[in-house]
Amino acid sequence: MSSAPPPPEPDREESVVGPAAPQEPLIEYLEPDQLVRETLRRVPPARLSHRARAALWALRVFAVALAAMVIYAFVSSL
Amino acid sequence: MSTREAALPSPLRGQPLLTDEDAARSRDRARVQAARSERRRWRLLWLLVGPGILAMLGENDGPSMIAYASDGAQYGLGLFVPLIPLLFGMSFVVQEMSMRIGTVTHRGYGELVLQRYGRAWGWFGAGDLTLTNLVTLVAEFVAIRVGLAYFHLGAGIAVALGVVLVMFTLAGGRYWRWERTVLGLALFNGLFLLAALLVHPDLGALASSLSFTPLPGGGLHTLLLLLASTIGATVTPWMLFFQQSASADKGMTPSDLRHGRYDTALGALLAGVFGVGALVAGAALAGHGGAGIQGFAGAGFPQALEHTAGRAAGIVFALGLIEAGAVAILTISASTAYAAGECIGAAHSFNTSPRGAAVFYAANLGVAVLAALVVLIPGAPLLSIALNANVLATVLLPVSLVFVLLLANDRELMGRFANTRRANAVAIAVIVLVAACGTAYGIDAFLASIHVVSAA
Repeated sequence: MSSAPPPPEPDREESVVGPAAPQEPLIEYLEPDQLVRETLRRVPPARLSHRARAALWALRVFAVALAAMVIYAFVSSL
Repeated sequence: MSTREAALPSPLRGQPLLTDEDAARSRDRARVQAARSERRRWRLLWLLVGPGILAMLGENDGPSMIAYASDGAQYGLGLFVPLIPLLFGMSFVVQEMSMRIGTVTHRGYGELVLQRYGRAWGWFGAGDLTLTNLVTLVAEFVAIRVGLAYFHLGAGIAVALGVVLVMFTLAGGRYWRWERTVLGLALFNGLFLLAALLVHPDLGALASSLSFTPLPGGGLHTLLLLLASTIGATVTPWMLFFQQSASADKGMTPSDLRHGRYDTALGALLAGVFGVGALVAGAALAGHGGAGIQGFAGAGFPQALEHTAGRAAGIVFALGLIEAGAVAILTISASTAYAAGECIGAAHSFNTSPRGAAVFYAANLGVAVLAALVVLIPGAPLLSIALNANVLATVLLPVSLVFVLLLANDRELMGRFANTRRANAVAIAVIVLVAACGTAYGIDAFLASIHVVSAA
């Protein structure tokens, strides 16, 4: 974002990405949380209120019931 | 071992600081940063477009274009000409949230839902996606078959074409190459606009249809089916998975959000225009009496267009169906692969080699092959599958939309990029509309199947 690293020179762009190139120049083009190593960290579970949990359960029941109805209607029409 | 290293989960310890996937992504980011610092606006736009256009044009898929053309042929232009762009506007609202979540968190939808809201919801989403994707992929192969049948080519060729195309695009080994290849193919969705021009539409009727009239004839069931299938042709679960994961895979960062919105808006605009193109081409068959259209699995649509508007219109429409099916096979297979990798916790990037991301590549190819095998089953109800694919997607969509809304409002994840009140108001209105149409259709279809109400 505003702290973006300086732009690469045109011929430098290719020179830093070869397998033998040092890793530091490559990292500067990526945000720290963009590295594969960082995305492997799990995000913590959401803290949901009782009301939100109840709403999600209602959503689960709604989705299963509606899917069952549509699949039944679809199969019976075959 | 550093403190940071020790804080990592055990599978991460000892991992290289920079993987091959990071290196490939970094190369793409270097180009973006160079274009940005040199103020090369068009170059920057060229580098950052992709996931939005692919999600939108991928959704202008075989069954969607057949549905639009069928609506035009059976019900005329009224209602649909303004409805299709309106629904793509709605799709923009949803897809913008997906793009923003992927861009800010650098993680896919399946991964975030699973980790944030528990395994049950994560797997529910993945299961819902796999089911609707498989059904839709079957319909895509049917669309290719319809297009090829016009040129007297059989189902075997359609299946081989789809599967070979998936293998070819996977062979690039880089997200950038995959995206550009599919983007190049997707632009041929414009063939439907060409087909519309070739049928010489009545511009007066086109203009008057912008008032949402005349409404299609038929009962409530027909109207609900039309609404559910048209919504299903513009917003689907795979698009949410795909754009969020592809934005992360492309390496987009919050500084790219504005271009991500341009990408999504451009995709919505193109998809709306091309969708209306298919509708207008289909409307040329309004006086055709439906003969040959219902038998479209035998190339009814292009053949009927040829009789009505000339051979060129038939050829263009047939080629459009082949393109629409082929692009959707690539994007829908990719969304399945992203979901599989994210939910299992395996590598899930086009920037990783097949050896490094076996689950991702196997799921990508596997789901396409599975759908292809269904198409080859003699006597399989392909017509029914193709027509119901969009409806099934609509019915299962509200759950996916609720989680997109929850994630987009999650300030722990999104920080200052979380939804504003206005964005929430629009998004909630979209979810309520989709849920209402899906629920009404689901209940009506069920009641009709047990003969409580008439299906007419």
